[in-house]
Amino acid sequence: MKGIKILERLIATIPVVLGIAIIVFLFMRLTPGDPVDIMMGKAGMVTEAEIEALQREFNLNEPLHVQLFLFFKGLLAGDLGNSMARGVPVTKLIKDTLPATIELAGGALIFALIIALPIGIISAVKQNSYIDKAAMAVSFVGISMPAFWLGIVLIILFSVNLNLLPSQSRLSHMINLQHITGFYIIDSILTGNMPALINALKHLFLPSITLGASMAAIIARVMRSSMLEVLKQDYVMLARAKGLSKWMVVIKHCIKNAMMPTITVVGMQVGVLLGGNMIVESVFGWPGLGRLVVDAIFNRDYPLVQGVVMFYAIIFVLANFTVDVIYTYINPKIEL
Amino acid sequence: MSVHKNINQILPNDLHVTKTKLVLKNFKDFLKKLKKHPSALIGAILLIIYVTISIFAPFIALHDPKKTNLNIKMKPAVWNGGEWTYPFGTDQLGRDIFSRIIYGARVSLLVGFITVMISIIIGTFLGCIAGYYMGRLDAYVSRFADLLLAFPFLIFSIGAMAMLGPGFWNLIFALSFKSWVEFFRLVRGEVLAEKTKEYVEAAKVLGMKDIQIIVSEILPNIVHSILVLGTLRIGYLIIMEASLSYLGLGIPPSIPAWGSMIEGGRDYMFNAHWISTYPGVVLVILVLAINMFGEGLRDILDPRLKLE
Amino acid sequence: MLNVKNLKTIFPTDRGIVKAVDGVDFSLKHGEIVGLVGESGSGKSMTMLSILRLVPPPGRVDNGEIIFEGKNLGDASPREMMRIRGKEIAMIFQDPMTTLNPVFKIGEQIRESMRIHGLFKENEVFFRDLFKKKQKAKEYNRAIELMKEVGIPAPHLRYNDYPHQFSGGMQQRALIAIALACEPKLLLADEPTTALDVTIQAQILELLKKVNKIHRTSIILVTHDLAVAAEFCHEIAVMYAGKIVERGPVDKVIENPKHPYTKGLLASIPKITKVKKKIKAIPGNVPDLAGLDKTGCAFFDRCDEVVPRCKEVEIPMEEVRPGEFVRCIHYTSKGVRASG
Repeated sequence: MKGIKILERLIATIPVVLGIAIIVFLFMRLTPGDPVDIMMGKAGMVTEAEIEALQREFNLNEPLHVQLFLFFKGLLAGDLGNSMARGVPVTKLIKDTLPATIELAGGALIFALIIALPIGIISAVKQNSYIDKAAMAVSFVGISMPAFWLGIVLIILFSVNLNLLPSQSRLSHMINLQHITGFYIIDSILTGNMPALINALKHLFLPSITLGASMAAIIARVMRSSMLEVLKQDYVMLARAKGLSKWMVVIKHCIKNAMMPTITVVGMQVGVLLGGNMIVESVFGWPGLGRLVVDAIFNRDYPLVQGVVMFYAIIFVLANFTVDVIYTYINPKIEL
Repeated sequence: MSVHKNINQILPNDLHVTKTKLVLKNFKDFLKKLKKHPSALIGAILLIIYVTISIFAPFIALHDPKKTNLNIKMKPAVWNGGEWTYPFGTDQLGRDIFSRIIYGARVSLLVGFITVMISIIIGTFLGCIAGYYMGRLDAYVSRFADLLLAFPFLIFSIGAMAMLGPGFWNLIFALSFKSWVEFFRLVRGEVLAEKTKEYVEAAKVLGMKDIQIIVSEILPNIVHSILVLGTLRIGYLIIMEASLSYLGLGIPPSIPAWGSMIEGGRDYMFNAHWISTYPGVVLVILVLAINMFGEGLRDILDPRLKLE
Repeated sequence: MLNVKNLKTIFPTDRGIVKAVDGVDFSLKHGEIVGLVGESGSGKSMTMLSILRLVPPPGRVDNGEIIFEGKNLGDASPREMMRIRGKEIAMIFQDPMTTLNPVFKIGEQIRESMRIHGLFKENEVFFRDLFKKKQKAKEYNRAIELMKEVGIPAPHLRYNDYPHQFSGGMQQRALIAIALACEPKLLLADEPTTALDVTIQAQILELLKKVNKIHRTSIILVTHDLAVAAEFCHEIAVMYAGKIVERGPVDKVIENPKHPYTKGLLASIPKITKVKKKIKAIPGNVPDLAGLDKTGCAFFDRCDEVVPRCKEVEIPMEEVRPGEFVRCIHYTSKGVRASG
């Protein structure tokens, strides 16, 4: 029963994805002026062959609706076109860089949750205490801080001055690692390669903090406010009257209820995570999707830009869908 | 909030003088409340300082922010053993960081402010019409807004700027293209809620025109929420601007902007960290000030409004 | 079994200290039902929470003794209090809709207090029953039994329901089942019927009466409805502005009310009689407790029988006849001079 409903809900995301595709498509074609000129920029280093290749790539010689049709046809077949600079399918490039990005996003998410949830809960329970005030002040700074600057400050502190942690790439040069899944953490565990695991974790540390910081700040604040709301509820009093201790009530009765608004926010933050990784990957030289797209922009590799932006948007839609599904398992009142 | 609500009905037309007085009194009340809200007050003061500095940038700056001089490149700040002629030191091309930061404030504030103004105008206009009349226009605009919401902000603007190319107005266009949605959703929701209240019914019975009802009855009641959201969004948009400029996609490098200054110092982190760090400090303080003021504004004007 | 002496619960606020409970005395015997009657805001619920030592901060119990089964709860450690709550003294709350935790199954919520208090704890070696299967089965059976007792039909099915799948009356029954889980000696029922329909109200009261009869559970019934208390209780205590103004056996209080406030409450009960009699409302509202730092009777501004001395002296509780207490100037043998 639940499975069917989840499937229905999944199908309902298809129009959204199509809409996104249309917006991406139109943004590429309808920018004022000749697309080729705009895409090639005014650098003047464009060869005839390059222009022709671009026209062929986007079917620019066809009428607009035919272009749209061809674009969708490719999309349905899972074909996002070919990278102009590298001459390989965009999907292959995405596949190659995706593990690095997921590893970074996962690290950031874990960092954010580990830091933010306890802080939010303790701040709420000890409302107006010094812990609460300090935590909220720090989280306020966290929200106001751009990731790229935090990354640079962390590098200056931990890599340059203290020389504790590496600041670039995913793995040191002298470490050998057999690539199985593309996730370095998993690969090193699978091959039992301890030095590689430690090295990969060290590399992951600063980028994860940088990417997760603002997310942690937001989650801590949301968790605190929803926890405060929950603590006022009558069922908290009932649990106390049953004979549970204050902290047991918080752990057993409150967290699950307070998680609901928090999960929604985590879902929305996935978008920030995806956008932020473009920045963080370029600060830390992390060879993931974000770096791929930034490089593509400067190489004027538009099929690649278009493909990756599409891909990001779809991931974002799917992430929100996943949040909806998780929600139904936590909140018995909602049945999708 | 409620004081504002029915002024038009409580007071007959010949008492318009009193109405102005009431608005003044509201403003005084607001200042009084602001004083009791220390973080909002600090935010407001900092903001005033930033705005003043950026307005009078040519008089405050010590040097031409664009003038390069490789002879004096990477001089440290005063407290790191530099000279007073370059209080924050110089960058990799020998430009005065202090002067560049001051001119950079102009760019950040202008981008934030203009984008929010455009977004408020478009969002409020469409939101009022969609919320008041519902119907087909509402359906179309809401669908489009949902689609735009399906893009993470930074990804959308990176994609858009990749197409448009760096530039001040390009940046404002790209940011506004997405940022009006928030205001549209806020205004539409509020109009939907206000529309059903008695005072709107009363105005209808009195024979007021729709546009009159929207402008003089409904809008005054939701302007607080718009103001609060607008303030908070300025901070967010300034971060967006800096992030895009950092990637080289926002403000062109010829104009001093904090994001591109931070990017410029990235290769010199080992020997001249101040090129990156100081513009960042200034940026963080500005965004912090805006957020503090905005949150205070929300507590004072509209405690119901949620941040997200 | 329960003896409350001079209980004072205060709330510090911006506008001064609010005395939510101001010198309350009453006692309760085994198997007895006492009604605590008063308008909302008179401190009834706070008296209940004070007994359980669960006054929400910044409020706190300032003074007084709560002797339960020979032990002063005021001196009990937090750990001892936790053992008493739910096991010895259980509470039924006003609004069943918000009192049940929305994310847990009803049955699990009934089982919880049994588990906390180790009702069926096995004295076995730790790993013999690692997953506490036996204990869980016993707890489950008892929960089903309880659900049957409080009148929840098809308990095996309803065990796995969530609170929102229950009607208001059923939710209140579930709450009673939770309260009864460990067979408490004392039940604090805080307006258990206020949030329910009239027909359901009667059923719930009937159920409480049954519990009182079968298990000899003492009950303190908090209500704003004097008619309910009259029908249900052995003793009645009338509260006004944090103080008990009249206390005595139910028939005495109803037939011969002495305090003007009790009289007013009685007159405001609509009666179904042939003769059309005007219902009399008590004029005015409950006073704001924050401003109430003056001497004298708090009811003076709403009272028909007010005399100037009402405001001048501190009026003591007077035992008019054995077991009947009144706090009114007209019943004092000698008005005690106000201090200062």
